[in-house]
Amino acid sequence: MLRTTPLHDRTAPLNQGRNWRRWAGFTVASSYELSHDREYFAIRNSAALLDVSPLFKYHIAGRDAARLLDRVVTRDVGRTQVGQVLYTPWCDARGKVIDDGTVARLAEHSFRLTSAEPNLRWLGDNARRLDVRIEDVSDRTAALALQGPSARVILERAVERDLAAVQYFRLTTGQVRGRDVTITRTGYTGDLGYEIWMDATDAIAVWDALIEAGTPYGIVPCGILALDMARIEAGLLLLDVDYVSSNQALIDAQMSTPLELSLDWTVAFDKPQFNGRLPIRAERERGPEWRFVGVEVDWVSLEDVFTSLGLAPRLPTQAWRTSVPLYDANGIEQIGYATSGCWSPLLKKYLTLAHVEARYSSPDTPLQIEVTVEHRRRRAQAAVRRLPFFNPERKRA
Amino acid sequence: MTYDAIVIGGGVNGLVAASYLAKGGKRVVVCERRESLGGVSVTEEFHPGFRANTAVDDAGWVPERVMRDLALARHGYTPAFAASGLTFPVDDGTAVSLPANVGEAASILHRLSPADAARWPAFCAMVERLSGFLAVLYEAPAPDVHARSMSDILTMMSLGRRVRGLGKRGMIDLLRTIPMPVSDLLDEWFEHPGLKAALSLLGVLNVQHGPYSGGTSLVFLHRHVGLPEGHIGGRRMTPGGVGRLPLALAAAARAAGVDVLTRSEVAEIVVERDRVAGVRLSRGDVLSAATIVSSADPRRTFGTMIDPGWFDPGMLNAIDNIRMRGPATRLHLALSELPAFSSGGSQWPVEALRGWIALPRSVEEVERAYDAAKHGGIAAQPAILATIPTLDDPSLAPTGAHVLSVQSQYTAYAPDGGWTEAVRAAMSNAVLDGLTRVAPRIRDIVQHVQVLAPPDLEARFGVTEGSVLHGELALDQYLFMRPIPECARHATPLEGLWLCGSGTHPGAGTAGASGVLAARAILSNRRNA
Amino acid sequence: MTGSTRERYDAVVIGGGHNGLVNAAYLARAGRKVVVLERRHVVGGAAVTEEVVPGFRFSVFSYVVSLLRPEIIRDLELPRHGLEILPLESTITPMFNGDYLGTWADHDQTRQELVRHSRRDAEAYDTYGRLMHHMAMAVKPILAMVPPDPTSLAPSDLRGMLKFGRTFRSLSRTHFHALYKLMTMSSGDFLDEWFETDVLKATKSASGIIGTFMGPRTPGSAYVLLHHYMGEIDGAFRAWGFAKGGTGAISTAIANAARAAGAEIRLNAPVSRITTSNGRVTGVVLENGDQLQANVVVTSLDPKRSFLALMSEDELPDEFVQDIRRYRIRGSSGKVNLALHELPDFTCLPGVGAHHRGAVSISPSMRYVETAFDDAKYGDFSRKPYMDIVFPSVIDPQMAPPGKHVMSVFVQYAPSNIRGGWDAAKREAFGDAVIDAIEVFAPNIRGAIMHRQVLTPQDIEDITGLTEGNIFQGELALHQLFFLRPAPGWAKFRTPVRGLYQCGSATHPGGGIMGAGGRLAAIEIRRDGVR
Repeated sequence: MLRTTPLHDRTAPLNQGRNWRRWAGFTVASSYELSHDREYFAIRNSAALLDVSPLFKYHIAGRDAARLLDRVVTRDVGRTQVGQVLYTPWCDARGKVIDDGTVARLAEHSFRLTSAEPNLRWLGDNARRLDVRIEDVSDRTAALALQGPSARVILERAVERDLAAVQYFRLTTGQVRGRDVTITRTGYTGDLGYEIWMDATDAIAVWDALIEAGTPYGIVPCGILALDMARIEAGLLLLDVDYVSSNQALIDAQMSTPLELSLDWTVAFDKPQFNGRLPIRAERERGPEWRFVGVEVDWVSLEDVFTSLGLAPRLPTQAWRTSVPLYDANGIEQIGYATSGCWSPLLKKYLTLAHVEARYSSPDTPLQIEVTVEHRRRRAQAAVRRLPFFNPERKRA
Repeated sequence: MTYDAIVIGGGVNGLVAASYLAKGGKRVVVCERRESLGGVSVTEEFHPGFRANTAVDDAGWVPERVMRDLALARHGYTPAFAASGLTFPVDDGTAVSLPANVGEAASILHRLSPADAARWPAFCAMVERLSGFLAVLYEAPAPDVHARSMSDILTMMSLGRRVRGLGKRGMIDLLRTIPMPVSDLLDEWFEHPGLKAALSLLGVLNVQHGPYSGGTSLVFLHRHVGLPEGHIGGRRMTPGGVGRLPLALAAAARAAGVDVLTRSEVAEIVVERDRVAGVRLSRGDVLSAATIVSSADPRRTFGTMIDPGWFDPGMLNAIDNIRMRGPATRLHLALSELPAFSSGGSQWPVEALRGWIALPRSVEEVERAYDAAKHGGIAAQPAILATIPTLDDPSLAPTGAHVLSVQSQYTAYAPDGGWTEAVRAAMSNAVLDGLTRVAPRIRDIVQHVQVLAPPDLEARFGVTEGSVLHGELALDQYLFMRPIPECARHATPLEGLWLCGSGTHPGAGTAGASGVLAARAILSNRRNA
Repeated sequence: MTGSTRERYDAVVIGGGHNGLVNAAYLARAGRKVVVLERRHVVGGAAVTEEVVPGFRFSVFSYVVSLLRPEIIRDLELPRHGLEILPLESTITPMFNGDYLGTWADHDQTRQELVRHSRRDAEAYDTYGRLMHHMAMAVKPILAMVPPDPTSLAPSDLRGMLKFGRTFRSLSRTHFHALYKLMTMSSGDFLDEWFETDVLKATKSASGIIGTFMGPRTPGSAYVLLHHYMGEIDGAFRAWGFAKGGTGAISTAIANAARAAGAEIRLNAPVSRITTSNGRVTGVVLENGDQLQANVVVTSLDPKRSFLALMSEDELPDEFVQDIRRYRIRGSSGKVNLALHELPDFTCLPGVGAHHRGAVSISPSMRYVETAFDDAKYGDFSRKPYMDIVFPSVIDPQMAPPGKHVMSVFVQYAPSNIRGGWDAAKREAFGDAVIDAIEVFAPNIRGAIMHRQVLTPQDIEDITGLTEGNIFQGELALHQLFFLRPAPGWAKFRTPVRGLYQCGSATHPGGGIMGAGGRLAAIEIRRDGVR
């Protein structure tokens, strides 16, 4: 049997279509309702509540905790303030990305690292001669994401205090119905939102409190399908979909560097040490070969492809996660590949996240994308766009 | 103080590297932790008036080139090859002592087995041929099997030609022999159990493997590099003991302008802006240099001297995984007189005692001693190889008195239950019991026994887990795998940090071969020129 | 010669084991008139299914399949001739403390299970698996290749070495070094670099010692770890599988394919001598006196039998005879086949469950396995042996009467050269040791046994003719692999006698039900153009 999360007793009865999928060895809902539309719109219009407990969570504490994280991740953890959260990738010694996640500074010598894949061994290998304790708290920590424009008001009601002071990528602590929670203003939707971290045994109580507080504001339990669309709009990477961990890659060509993933902003080149520093620095000097960009499929061109076959355009109802070839504007040379894509019901645009050769990465560069219509491979016009595709004021406000 | 290069460790390889660097125009300092130079190649007083070769009975092969370049003879090192190799007891109560002369040895063996006697010359020739090839291999940098540069390919080709020079059969013998268990090799050649037992010890000297383990034939051949044909179990003898070699090397180094500091332990290698900047000594002072050459073993260098944050954790895992596993306890006995040896029959002639005295009666006995350590313990009946250095060099003991040194295998480095005085005493007893079987009255003439178990060797010489070879000699820790592939050509991934110790190619008890290769690599490195 | 017959063939294949049959099938498909001579009343050699007790069918010797070359399955259309391979899904190792370690077909399930033992190892396991995948990819082409002789300057050898070199060069440095370590290290040391869970290392290393006279701490045993990983990569089944109908069904399928191609298979036809004239093979003489003439004789027997028993030394070069003499075979394993009226009930996983569809490895700790080897090193069978247990009847119900089961226990170590030689008393003592050791983990085993078949290496030799009862026809040790297998200079299926070829497991690439030797030898014979 696959494992179930601490929230399974709540999520299982809600799952109308028994629509489950695997996430890190756990059973999680793809969508609760038979169609995920309402869940998607909740993220953008009201609030969505997601069970993100399958994330891997590590508690790192001790005098050298910051030093350990600074050896591992590309961002500067030493300079982080208590109460701050960082998004960061981390690399192997060759500068190839292993995983990405968040680092939350809970106290001077106490951090929580989240990741998509297990990283205990890697953290341990980096902790040589450091005074640090690394604990895998994945199983005893549950996590909920409350995302959407109404997230703040709902959460304020649940914790019975004002949260206006909690800025983007900052954390606070509080209580929900007497249960201790840590609240981070983070999320995977690119919208206003929070993630709530708590002891696994408190998860059900917190869920109930949030649902109760949120019902008047239209809170909707939300599955992975809707989340996947939101994160594409937000231009957020997904391990195993948009890039392959260097731990998992079978050949070098499958690996990516932070610069190739356009995560330049996460690399603190002035830190004296971190895994991959010298190769990434050398790469910065010569310029990365690849970039990770948004690519928007041109609507008119897409429509033409369909109409030429006597069809009306058919759009994907879910986000897709396959590799789709991208060509230069003349359609001659393959210059990249899209790794995820979806129709954005909000923006009314067909969006994809893609790896392109660096010289094709500047915004508005015209490209072609392969589209399969009636079993035939066609090309539609497309163009590079700046990420995120959707970036509402409220996310940071 | 600012130098061009700092050599960490005043062992044989450190001194050789320092001399070559100085001769190459560098300003060089050697920092030795101990008061005496030489690393494990030292002769020390262990009881008032008694001196012994503390860790090794043979200073090891010094490449001819090094002898010449550093004028070691002029500086006082002129080794002679021991006239006798192995001595071992046989069932009729006598002992067989094999002289280095092939014909003589064969005629002595005739008594044990005419078949073995007949094969002895061919065996000696085989050992000479194959170990001679190893010597060639050891005078060049470790082959780069992923060679891309022309010079690497040329080196490989010339090695290939040398291999071909062995002839088709020689090549097959080499490729076939190296991975073999020494027991299989000996079974192919000989039938006499005592002869095989004695020879098998040469395949397991200082490695945590029994003679049934694959790769011990390599250890056997490696041991014979630089020894003339017939010197099976041969050793280099110098008046004053193995410690004579580092004295000569130190003299050569000083003559070349090297500063040699003793009692100067390096606490830390200082790194600035992604490259080495110098060393901090444990007494506090800092010496600056853009090149640091460590002759300490790789586990010690990377594990204790430098911030691990500068290296790929995966590489450090590989360093941690280097098998050190010193299997041997050294015991030095101060004897009031020369012990009488006999194994039930007549007394052994004194000449026989000049050999390396191998006590195991069968290969199985050696293997059983290994089993104990393999399972985390200490052999109750250790495999003993003994020598009486005072027979050739009376200066090591007061007049009439003698020293008997024992290489006793096997023990786990951290045996179940740990090392206690009682364990050491039991071990000393086990060795004395073993010796009593051939020297019945030895207990009566023992004045003192020094026991140096692997942790003692580690504490004294700084060799991790008491491995005097700086890492087990095994196929997976050999050539381009020694100490780890990333450092096989003496350079490390950290700019300016080099390795020159016995833990690098060819290393493993060769004397100076690693040091000279490291120095040459440093001198030919563009960034250091 | 009275009463004897003289017949003429293009090729005579000695031995109807899987390699002999594959060889004959390929030769027959090339239009040769081929006869296979099998000493026993069944084909298959060590790959036979026999109904030892009515209703119970045992894969008597070899019991699992993973290495059978896919090109042979395709070329000979074996599925059409009855071959069907069913997957073995899992391995569990019962532990002394009542727990167990399991690895399952599903990745998440395995990870979850490993996390119970060590989170670190659960992570390392994935990385390790990927590394082994790479290594297997690199080594796979070598299995399908005639080993070049690195000591030769002949163009074909140089080309071969180049191809060989390219295979290795295609590996990254890291992978090359890992492969080199696999070739030279002990499986224990190799696994120590990866894992901390003793029972995991014990179970993995046990697969590195199957069919060898090595312990997990013997350098060289890591290579066999890879040898047994090879089957894992062709995807159809994960690691190991059963042939429906037992391993004998594989032999039958190959035999059917050979017959369909026109080969003749003679049973009960032991060969007494290979005949030569002026350095050329001329045919064989059977024990019944019949003479078969052929310009090509292919032996699938082990080299000691082929060259030292069926030929006289003066027909062969001294050096070759010496090499064959010193070739090490060293049978190290025995087999116990049980007919059961109920499945063993393991204390660690009570009842009948998914674990009965997979293998049960009796390798509770590294020390257990290594100590088992220590017994054998000094000429005794293991008092507490390592065992690899499967229940073919659970996967293929036709192997036993309804509700009843067959259990196959591969046992190590049982040295062929046991002190004083094998006899009936030792055989029973060995069988008892096996049952005792199983009983520790499955207390109902003794009562469940309806019939017990104990096979020592001596029995295996007596029945199959394999020297020292080694189903691999010689140790898979580094100095006996590739161009050194079975003898330096004679690794290309040829022999010093013109027209005489070898194709058994003692040729490259070695043991297991692989069939590669049979196929490669057939290709070499056609290349030589001898008829």
